[in-house]
Amino acid sequence: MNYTFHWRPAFRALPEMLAGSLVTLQIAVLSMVIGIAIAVLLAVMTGSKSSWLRGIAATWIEVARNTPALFQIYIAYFGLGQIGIHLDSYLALLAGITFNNAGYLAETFRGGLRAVPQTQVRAARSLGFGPVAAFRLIVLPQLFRAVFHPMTNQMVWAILMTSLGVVVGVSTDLTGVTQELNVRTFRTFEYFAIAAVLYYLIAKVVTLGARLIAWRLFRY
Amino acid sequence: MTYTFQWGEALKHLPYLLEGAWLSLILAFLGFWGGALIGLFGAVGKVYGGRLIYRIVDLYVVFFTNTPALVQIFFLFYALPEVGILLPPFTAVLIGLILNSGAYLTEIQRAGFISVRQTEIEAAEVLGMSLAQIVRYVIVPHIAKTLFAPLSSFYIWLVLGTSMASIFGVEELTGRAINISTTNFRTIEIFSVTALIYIAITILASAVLALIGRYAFRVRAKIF
Repeated sequence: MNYTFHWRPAFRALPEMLAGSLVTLQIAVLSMVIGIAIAVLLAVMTGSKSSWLRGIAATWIEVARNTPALFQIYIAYFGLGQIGIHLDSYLALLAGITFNNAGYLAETFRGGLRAVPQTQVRAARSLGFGPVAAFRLIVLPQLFRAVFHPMTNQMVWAILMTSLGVVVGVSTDLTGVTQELNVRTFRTFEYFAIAAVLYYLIAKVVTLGARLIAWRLFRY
Repeated sequence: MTYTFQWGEALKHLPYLLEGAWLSLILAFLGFWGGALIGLFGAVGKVYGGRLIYRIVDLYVVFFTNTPALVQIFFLFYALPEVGILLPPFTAVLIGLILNSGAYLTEIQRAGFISVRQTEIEAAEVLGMSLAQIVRYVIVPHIAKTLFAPLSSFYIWLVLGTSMASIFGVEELTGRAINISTTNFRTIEIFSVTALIYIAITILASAVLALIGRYAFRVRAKIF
């Protein structure tokens, strides 16, 4: 136990780590936005009449929920490269997390869709709404209201998952930056402590932001 | 797209991969029960403890659920040696998983404790049950019923979380898949087989959990 703490050099690296936090947040937000779009599609597909569409959606959901996120990122990076789709590490990380998010969210949305009574859709159709308009104006708002809380959870998940990018060589996100500083200076303890606190702060800010949005949109 | 699949290469390594899957399951099992023990104390402290204990447990839970498990294990594996605590990879990963799942399981079990209704306990007392009987016949079945679904889905989630061990050199399923694919470059075949193994073990685990739930706790658990 003769380790002397040197917090000052660690704090001097704070701007770099904050920049890393922004990248982490950026990846998480992007993966959520794309993931939500895909998840709505998948959730609708699970209820479709075509067995092909149902099969594709079910496969996506099963694979995304039953294999590790780390493994999915590996596939996006190493596996896709083999068949000629070369993603750089940032995109591979984004693709992996988006795939994972879409699978988990699709399952949540499927439950949320059931919370919207079919009779409302029929009522909307009889009032002259087209199928798309009925879905967009009647079903979607209620769906998002029902699944808002699990969606926030998934967002925090996405933030935590971005740390896995370090295995495919993402060096700009918070874990990547921390790891690089660590390799350069060997002040492991200090850097990882700061990184942990930063992750905590990002997650907290996101949760608070989500609560604010929920209050603004749904008044609860 | 001139890729020729060679499934034989992947299937040749199946026993090696399955051994890795076994290690994943063991890690998840130990991590789960270690975490469940911490979670039990945490939940009891949060529900029945005083203000101070509540605060301490809450700090632990909030901190460990809001930072990545990867960073926690990094910390154990790379930072602790600097203060003289040298952990082998397997132990570091296991401790990391236990601490991480302990935080989640505290919250899950707390929900179970809260769900026990005071009136049920009072009714049991009126009927003349002893404390042991109340715990055995009223509290435990109730908690088991409410907690079964979240606990089993957390277990599945933990099985997937063990893949992080591969980063620290523990050769579980993901680690072994990477090992093979870097020697023979049949990445797609190896990864597809690995994905199927993961799906198989998680479905198997949920089936076993559903059976246990059905016969031990009379939970109407669906396997699929």
